[in-house]
Amino acid sequence: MPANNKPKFIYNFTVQRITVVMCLMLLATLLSFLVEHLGFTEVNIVVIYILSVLLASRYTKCLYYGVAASLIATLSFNFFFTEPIYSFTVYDKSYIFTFLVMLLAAIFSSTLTSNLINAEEQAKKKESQAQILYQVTSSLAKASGTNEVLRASMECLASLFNSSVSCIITDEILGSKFHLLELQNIKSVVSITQLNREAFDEHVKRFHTTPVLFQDRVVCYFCLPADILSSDENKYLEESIFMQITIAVERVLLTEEKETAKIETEQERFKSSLLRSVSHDLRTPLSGITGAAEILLHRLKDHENITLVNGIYEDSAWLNRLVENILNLTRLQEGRINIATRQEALEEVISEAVRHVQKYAAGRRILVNIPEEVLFVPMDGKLIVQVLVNLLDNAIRSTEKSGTITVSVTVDHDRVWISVEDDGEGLENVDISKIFDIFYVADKKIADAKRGAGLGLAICKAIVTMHNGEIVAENKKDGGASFRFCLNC
Amino acid sequence: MSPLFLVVEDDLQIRNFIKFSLKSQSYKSIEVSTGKAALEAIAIEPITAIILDLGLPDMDGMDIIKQVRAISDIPIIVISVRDQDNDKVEALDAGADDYLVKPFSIKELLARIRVVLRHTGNSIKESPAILEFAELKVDLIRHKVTLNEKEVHLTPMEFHLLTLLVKNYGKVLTHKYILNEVWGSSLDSDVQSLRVFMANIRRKIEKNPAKPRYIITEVGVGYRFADE
Repeated sequence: MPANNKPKFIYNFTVQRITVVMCLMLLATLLSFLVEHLGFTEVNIVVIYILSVLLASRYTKCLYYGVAASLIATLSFNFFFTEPIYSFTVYDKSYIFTFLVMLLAAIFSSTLTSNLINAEEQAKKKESQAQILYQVTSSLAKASGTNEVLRASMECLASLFNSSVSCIITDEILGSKFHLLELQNIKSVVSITQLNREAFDEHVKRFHTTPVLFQDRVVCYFCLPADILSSDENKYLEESIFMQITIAVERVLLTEEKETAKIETEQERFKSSLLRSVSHDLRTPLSGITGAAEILLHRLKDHENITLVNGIYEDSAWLNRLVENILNLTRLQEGRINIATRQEALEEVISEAVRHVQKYAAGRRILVNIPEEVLFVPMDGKLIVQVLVNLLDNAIRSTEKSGTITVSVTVDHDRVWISVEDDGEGLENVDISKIFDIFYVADKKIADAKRGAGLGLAICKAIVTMHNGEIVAENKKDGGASFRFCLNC
Repeated sequence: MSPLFLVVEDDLQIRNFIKFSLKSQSYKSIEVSTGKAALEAIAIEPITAIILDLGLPDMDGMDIIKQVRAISDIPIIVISVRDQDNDKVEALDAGADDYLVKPFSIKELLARIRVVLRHTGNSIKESPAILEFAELKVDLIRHKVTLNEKEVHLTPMEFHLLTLLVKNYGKVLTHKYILNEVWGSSLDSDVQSLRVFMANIRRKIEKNPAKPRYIITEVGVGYRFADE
């Protein structure tokens, strides 16, 4: 267990240091005896002791042991070499001064030494950290693409902490659950496994996990063995490395985002130019067909032929309305139509819509009831005309040729309701909820005979919603369908 | 002398049916499919009016309108698949007399052609003192408007607007054009007051302002006085 290892390790280290100090003191004392025997002055002994303290500081690399060595040295000198020998007392009071100076010199030199050594060690550590960080930065800078960056990060972590590393990628990058990448050591291959939620939680709990964030969401988690957490310096290093990793991930993701955006814009451009050409290419031949059929209608005398040509004429006209609706709906769904709200006179908008459908209303009567005063409503006039045209078109298709369609306007506080009612068969109840869905056509039987692409009402709903209004479909009590929509004044 | 039309359209089918519908009214026509040929024809032939498609293979129809307007007043009816308001307004402001979005009905085209012919038939400078449309009578000299022989009271500004529309009957007048003619400026904010004036005029001359007989709105573009 790591918890027990640590004190034992420190204990060993202490014993080792004490031994060093004791040995040095012993050696210095022995040498001093030799010097005394040879008849050299006491100054030499003092110098020997101070040298031994210096060495003790150098090898123990600790101030406390240096100070202890200084004390031992002074006491030894007193004990072995000053009169009376083998006692801690002195006859000559001037020795006390010598002891003091010796002690101070010893302490001072040991302090200096240990400081120097510490500084050197710090510098070395800093240098190696800088080197590691440099390696991390450069290997990350070389990596391009999310996967490469993640792999480079894992390799750096593995070499730094000399352990296995795993990385869990969240679904935001890969579009599915969690993916676990594992690297046993630097040279091994990254293995990929899929994780479910529980396995993910389990994994995160088992390891020392660090999340990497991008724009406030977690991109991935790096997992190191839980016992790796060590000194403060390692912590600092770890933090710096993760900062580098985060920067690299951000860089890669931003590049990818930019690229996706670029592709999207290109697709958008392609789509809109496609739409433009489709609209042009369909409309031009349709104009030809409708026009030719119209001329024929005026020239032909035979009833059968007239019926046939009339079919061509009506179908091409219908196709044209369909093309228009498809184009409008695509524009609306792409958000390319920006509504340009202006104060429009409601009567002008209604009259334009009525005028537009009158062409194919055949014998149907279209009545319009509006309030006496002029109503100005903020709206995109052209789009609301489209809503009304579609509702009127719908009403025309569901009424007999002798039918009546009524457009009315009512003001309700700060809202204006515009309704289009007919005296046809009305809506089937099942239809009402689905009637504004795209490609919903009321009755399959009717759908063949009286086509409607099911787009008209979807467009109405989209446009009214863009105006923050509501659109409602219901059956009138006396039969016939009623469509109402409101706009805010 | 029967009128001569220049049909500028690159699509063969459309060129054909326009030609046949003009023939049905005993109008003569020249058909061309490029802008260059159109400009040549305008320089040589005594053209009464031009029916112009905007999307031509060699040049944009807008440029043809501008080039023609620089030298003559020949009426131009634009036929185009471009259905956006700004396309219409741009063409009309550049000097086109009318704008039809494809596909259009022949009835519509012939109606617009008749308008153009009536305008060229009676010289605009000597417009008659009294203009009559169904039940509406506008006396330009005495500033009097009657509906069903009953006098309609219009304010000077309303009368001014009505005369402008009536003189250009059948033609679409853009908001910008009307504002420039009546107010001498064309701020976007003025369009709002123009609508109020129009609504008031309609209340005085139309039976049902929401189903107007005389003053037709082209939403987002302008107004047209319907003559038939």
